[in-house]
Amino acid sequence: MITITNLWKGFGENQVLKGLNLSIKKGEIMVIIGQSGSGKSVLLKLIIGLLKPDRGEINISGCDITKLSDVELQKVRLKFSMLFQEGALFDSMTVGENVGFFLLEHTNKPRHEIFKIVKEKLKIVGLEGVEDLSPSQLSGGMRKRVALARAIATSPEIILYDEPTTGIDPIMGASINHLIRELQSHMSLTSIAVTHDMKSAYQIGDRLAMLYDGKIIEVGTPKEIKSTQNPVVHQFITGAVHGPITDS
Amino acid sequence: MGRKIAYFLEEVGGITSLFWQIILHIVRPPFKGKYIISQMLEIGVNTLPIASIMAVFTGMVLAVQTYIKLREFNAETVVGGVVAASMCKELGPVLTAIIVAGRIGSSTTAEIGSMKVTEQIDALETLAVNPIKQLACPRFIASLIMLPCLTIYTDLIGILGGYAVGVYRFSICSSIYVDNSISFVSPWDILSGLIKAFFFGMIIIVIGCYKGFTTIGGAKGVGKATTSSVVISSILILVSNYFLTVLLYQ
Amino acid sequence: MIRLGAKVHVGLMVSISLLILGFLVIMAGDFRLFKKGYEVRVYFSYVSGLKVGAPVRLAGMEVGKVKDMSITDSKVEVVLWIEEGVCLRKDSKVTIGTLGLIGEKYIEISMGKGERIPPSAKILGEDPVSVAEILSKGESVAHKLEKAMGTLDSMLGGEETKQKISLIIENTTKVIHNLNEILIENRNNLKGTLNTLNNTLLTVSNNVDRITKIVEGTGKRVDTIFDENREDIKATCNKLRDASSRLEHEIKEISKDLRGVINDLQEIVVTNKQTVSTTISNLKKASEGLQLITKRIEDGKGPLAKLLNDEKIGEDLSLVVSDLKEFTSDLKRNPWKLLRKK
Repeated sequence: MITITNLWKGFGENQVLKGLNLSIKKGEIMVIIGQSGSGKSVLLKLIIGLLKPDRGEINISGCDITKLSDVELQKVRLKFSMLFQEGALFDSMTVGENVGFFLLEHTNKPRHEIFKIVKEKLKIVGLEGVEDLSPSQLSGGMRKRVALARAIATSPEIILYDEPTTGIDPIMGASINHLIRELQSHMSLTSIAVTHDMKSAYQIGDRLAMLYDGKIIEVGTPKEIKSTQNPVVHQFITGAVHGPITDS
Repeated sequence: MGRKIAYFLEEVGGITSLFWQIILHIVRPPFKGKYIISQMLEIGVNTLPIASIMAVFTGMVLAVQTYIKLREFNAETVVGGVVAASMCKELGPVLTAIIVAGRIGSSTTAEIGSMKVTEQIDALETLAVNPIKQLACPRFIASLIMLPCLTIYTDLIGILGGYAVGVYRFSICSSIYVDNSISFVSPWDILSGLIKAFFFGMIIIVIGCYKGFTTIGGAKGVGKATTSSVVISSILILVSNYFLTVLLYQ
Repeated sequence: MIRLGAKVHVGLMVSISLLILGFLVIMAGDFRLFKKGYEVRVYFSYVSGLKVGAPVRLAGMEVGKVKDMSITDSKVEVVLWIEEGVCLRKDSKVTIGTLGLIGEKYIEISMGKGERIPPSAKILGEDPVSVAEILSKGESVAHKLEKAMGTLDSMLGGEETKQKISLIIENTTKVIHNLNEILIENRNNLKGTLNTLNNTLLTVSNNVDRITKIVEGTGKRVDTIFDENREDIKATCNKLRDASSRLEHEIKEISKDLRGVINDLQEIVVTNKQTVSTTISNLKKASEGLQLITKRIEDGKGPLAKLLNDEKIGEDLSLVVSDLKEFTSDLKRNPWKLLRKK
């Protein structure tokens, strides 16, 4: 479904991605793990076309999105949804307008009909009666849920999760993880999640990929990753203070 | 030094390209008018009270100052003309623009800047909405309409302020005052002021949006961007005012 | 709900602003939209910086505006808009005037007489004097002046000439000064001299009278002596004649000189004018007396002939004659003695 080959991206002097290769199968949840600042979020933004790579290809259903124009990219994007770290809800709008934003912008459906859908989506993420609140009135976990509702309201084929459990308490994190898995099974999505929370990664991931020094150094199921022979991956998943990552 | 020049050129290039994209997105379908009204409300209607206060006191102080000086030449009656001409030609558009730059330029940058640092801009893109079309274009159009509109009000209110001072405080004959005001101002003076206001509206919004879209560094970055947005647009208003005056009166 | 309110607000604001704009523009445009009028075309060959929108005045009252200006083949066509009801007449003069301190131009139309000019008529305007023209004339004048000054300068230019001129002026001043000084110094002397002269002449005149009387009185004796002393008398007579003519000549010269002096110093001698003129008349009298005497003597008539017969008288006469001889010789030697006090 998604094939990334030899992807390079740098910001000024700082080379973030150095020839990254990764392929993601349809219907699976790929979790990319790595340190903070290793370029996980950059990778997500490259996949969704928010950033342009310096070199390399990103093939989505046989279409290289790095070569597309803005207008063509907009069309491809309709397949995507992204859940941002802080939710990125539009704080000039109500929760209902946030969730229904895509429908309000891109369809001619009447407002009340859209709000019906909004209600449904909010119900899926476990929220009710919050449509008229403003995002600033919500807690961190609720924001994430609303953001998730907004992400699924577009009926996407691919959802990208940027640190889905960061900044919320463990219980809320667990329920978000549960939600992600549930959506996956309900809606036959392909998902890519980025996280450094190993517990979350093991819970939601069909496969895990370790991003280190601008490259994917290991890909495997949670089980395979747990029994890795790679010392870098080992240090990361065990959270050891000493190891090749900190010593180099 | 070299880095500063490079930075300056980058800014100029960025502003120009943003301006161009705003124009492109305005003419390119789909047309979405629903955000324009709320921006017009904000830029025009909500700015009107403070602009009116500015205008009435500017007109009044102009009348006082010119009266004091003109009395020495026995030309008190010219006060009306001086107030009307300076309000319509310069002070109306420029002061209105400065106030709008302070009110709207800053809020535009702050709003877009905070959207930028909280990834709302990215979210817009992932929802297949162009942020420029969504955020910049409605503001741009609203500003182009509302700045001349506000300027018309400030022109009139400034003239009325001057009239009040001239006629009620300095007892200049009302009809002479009005006559004099009329003879000093041509329709072109009023229209040229509005043309200026139109360009100032462009400056405020393009700079405000540019500074917003290029904000980095969290809340502190938003603050910095907001300040520089107001500073840059105020300077550009004053500088471009000179060149616009030269162009319009040649 | 909120959207509708916003729309209403914005709509209200925009429409009111358009109303204000219309109001302001119409005001600034000077109500012309609401007034009726007509157009008149005026042709000038020079418009002196007149602008569109400048006022048009009929006999000083504003009645319209300059609506348009354009250049035709050889003239500037100025289209005037004039209020309805205001009429221009056939010999109305159209001129371009200047308003106020700033020098704004306007069109002045005189009342005139005769027929009315119909709307959209064409009138020939009177051209104002071009400033450039004035300037160019002034320039030529200035040029000429400059030239004249140059010539003068070159005439006086030499250092030598300048020195000479200054020397002349200096000398003249000196001369005048000296003259003045002399006059002041000798004012009294002159007065005295003139008085003396007058007295002298008076005395002379008196003396001559007396002599004449004596001569007359002794004429008879002279007559008698005459024959004896014919030769002597003849010589005496000759001498006398000579003396008198000389005296006359001298006196004439003196009077001439005096007159010259009087003329030259008229102002100073105003007070002496009278004196001088009497002096002159006295002198004249004196000379006349002398002339008479000599004539009679020459004629040898009357008492003189008798004198010649009387011996005693003859002796006396001879004495007198010798006295006279002495006198005349003295006079001859020193004619100025006459003028001096004895």
